[in-house]
Amino acid sequence: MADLGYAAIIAAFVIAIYAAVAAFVGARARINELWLSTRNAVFVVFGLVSVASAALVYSFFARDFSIRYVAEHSSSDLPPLYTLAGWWAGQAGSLLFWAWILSIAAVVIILRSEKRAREQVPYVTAVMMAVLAYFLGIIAFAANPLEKMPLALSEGTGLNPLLRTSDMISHPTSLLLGYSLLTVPFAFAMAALITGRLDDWWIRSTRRWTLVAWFFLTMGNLLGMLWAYRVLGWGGYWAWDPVENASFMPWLTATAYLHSVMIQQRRGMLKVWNMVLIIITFSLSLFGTLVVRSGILSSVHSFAAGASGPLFLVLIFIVLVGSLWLLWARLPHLRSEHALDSMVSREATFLGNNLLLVGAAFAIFWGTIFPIVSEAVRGVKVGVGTPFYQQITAPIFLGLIVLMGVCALIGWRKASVDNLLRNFLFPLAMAVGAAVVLYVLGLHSIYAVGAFAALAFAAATILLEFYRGVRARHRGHGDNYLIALPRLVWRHKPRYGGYIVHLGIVLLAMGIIGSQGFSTNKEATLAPGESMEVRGYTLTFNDEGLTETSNANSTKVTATLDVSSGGEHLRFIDASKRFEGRSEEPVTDAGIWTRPQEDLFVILGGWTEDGKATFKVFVNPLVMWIWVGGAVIVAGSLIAFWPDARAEQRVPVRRLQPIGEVEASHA
Amino acid sequence: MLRWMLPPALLVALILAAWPPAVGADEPPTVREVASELISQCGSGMVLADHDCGIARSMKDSIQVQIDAGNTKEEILDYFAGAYGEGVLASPRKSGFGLTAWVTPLVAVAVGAVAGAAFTWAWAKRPSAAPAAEVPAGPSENLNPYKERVDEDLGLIE
Repeated sequence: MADLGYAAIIAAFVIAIYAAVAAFVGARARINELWLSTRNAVFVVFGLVSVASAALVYSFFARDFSIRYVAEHSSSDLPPLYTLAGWWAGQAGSLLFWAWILSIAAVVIILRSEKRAREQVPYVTAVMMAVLAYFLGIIAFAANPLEKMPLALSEGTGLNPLLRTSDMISHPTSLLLGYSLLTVPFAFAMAALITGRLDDWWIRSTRRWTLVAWFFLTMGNLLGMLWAYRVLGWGGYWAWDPVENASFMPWLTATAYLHSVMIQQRRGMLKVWNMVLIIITFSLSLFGTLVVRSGILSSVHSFAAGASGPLFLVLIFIVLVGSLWLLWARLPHLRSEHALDSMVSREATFLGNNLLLVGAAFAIFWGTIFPIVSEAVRGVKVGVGTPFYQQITAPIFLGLIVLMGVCALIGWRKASVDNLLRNFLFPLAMAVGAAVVLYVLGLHSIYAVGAFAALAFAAATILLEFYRGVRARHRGHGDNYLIALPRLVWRHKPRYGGYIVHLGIVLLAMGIIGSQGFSTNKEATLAPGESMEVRGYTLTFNDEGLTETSNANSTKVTATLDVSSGGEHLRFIDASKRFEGRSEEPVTDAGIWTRPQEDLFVILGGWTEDGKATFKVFVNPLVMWIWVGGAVIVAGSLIAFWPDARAEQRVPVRRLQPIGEVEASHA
Repeated sequence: MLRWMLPPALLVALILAAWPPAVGADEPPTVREVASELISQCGSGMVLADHDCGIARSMKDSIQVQIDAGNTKEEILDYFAGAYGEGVLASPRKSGFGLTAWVTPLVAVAVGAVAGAAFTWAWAKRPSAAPAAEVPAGPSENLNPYKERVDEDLGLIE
């Protein structure tokens, strides 16, 4: 099966190269037969990559430990779900998953977009097949997941215990989907540059693709935070690890892109900037794939290290040089159709938002590569960790929150002073009110008060938008307010979906500020029956001490603590260490009690032979709102890119427009 | 006009009143404060304060010993940088080459802001293809009923 899979990879590699060349030559020379051949080649590539993927999955389930990748990422005691997760647990399998997603996207584009953009789709296909061929080349010759060893092992080394969680199914796949699907808007942008059709067709054609890629990047980052919080057992959810940074950077630039394309669609402006943004975003997605799977930077994700780093650097170089050269060549044709009417306009605030988003991405990029830069310049590898990123990015993100509110209040083209005053009054009053209330309640940190006031301002602007829309529907249609709200959202999905995403960002930021700024922790070693105090909580290690439970795949050591406050029993919390399979490295199962105001987070650190156990206890305020905000962002994204039946049905009406020509011919 | 200025003035007054006083320089640091500025040497790349491997525990013990001996935070950080190299520090020093790590992003954002502002200003001065009209901010309440009506009409066509 492995031989069949490897043969499929080699064949897919060759045919993808053919498809890339044939699509380009066919479009240039207008040879329809060549395009038809390309279409078939794309379908065949998809089939072959699917066969290779199926061969790998089959090898995992067949426990074929003669295959190095299978032996390194599974063992015969692994449950089915984690056996499947072995596919993307390491570098080679992840690249195959990446390639498989891209091959599916190529097929969908041909099926859906061929008739709408007959001139451009061959070039889109050429770019996608070229990228896919490069990936298949890496898989075939540098990171083969189906590589056989001279001798088969009797047993695999097993999946890293940290990866034996349900998050392992959703977190890496979401990120890889996001990275891979960003190829689509990049390929359309390149097709626009090659063909010289530089209006906003490529943005309209890829709006949903970009939103889907952004959605998966968002999901991937959020699920990664959740995994870190629940599994890594250090009390936090974001460590500014290079791999986390690598997935956050394309998210930031993709977010900038999603905002700036609105200006091009509405005003025909920022054409060059949008091209630059999608080139940067795609390059960063390649950088993300490089960092997560190359091991060039030390990381909590180092279980996925591989050796294809230089090949990725070459690909990023080719993408950057090639696309920027193409952009340079087309520069004279990318002039804006309109000038900016005023510095006080939504366009100007979007520019500010873009500056901060790209600035944040650059700051994180600079911090991520600075150890390498320092080593190259001075021969000394310096550390760049949480304190650096927090200090550099906090003011940028605070500025973004404020701008998020301001953007919604300022109209397109030009806003008058009267309108500004009228629109800003309520949100500013909310911000001031929030600041006063928090100060009176005892929050005297100027940074925290300022940050929460900014969040109140942004939330007020969003709620104001909803209120005005609902009121207009109530007056215009007579809908009662409860019905008007869902109808309003459903009839303007992209816009109100976007506002819901903004609301989610506000909630998420609230959770981050609360947990980063006001977390408390304490460590203590307790004998059974002894207690420790943490911020008003009394935690008592129960009299029975540690308990040990086992099943077929794991052994778990658990400590139960009685949580009380002011003498009143609140609940019990279990904190455990789990030993998976034959691994001697335990996985932390933190005991987490989540409530809206704060999380009580208990880690069982270790134990001694005399029955004492060491506990690390955190009180993390407002963490729950990070996950609530994440869920709201996901819901908003789904609404924003949900197909609009009315828009789909309106297309034929637009196509009827040339009817004037028919009338003219009759005349 | 005065009533418009009241909320911002109140906010400024609050900010000034709440500005945190300078922390006493002679207060001994806590283990967590120092450990938050160091990277655990277990290979995970995580901040020492958040990590708990064997090496991390011995590093934290060493911090406690040095705090008890009366060393300042800077002296303890210097000790670790001397023992493990600068890679042990969780953020580059704000001097020498390390300063470029801090300054470069700020300069980049500042240059971007100045360039963007100049570009936008010059752009706004250029004659527009269409005359600038005053468009009410946000989704105008006045226009919304009409937009809704258009949506309804389009719905009737379907």
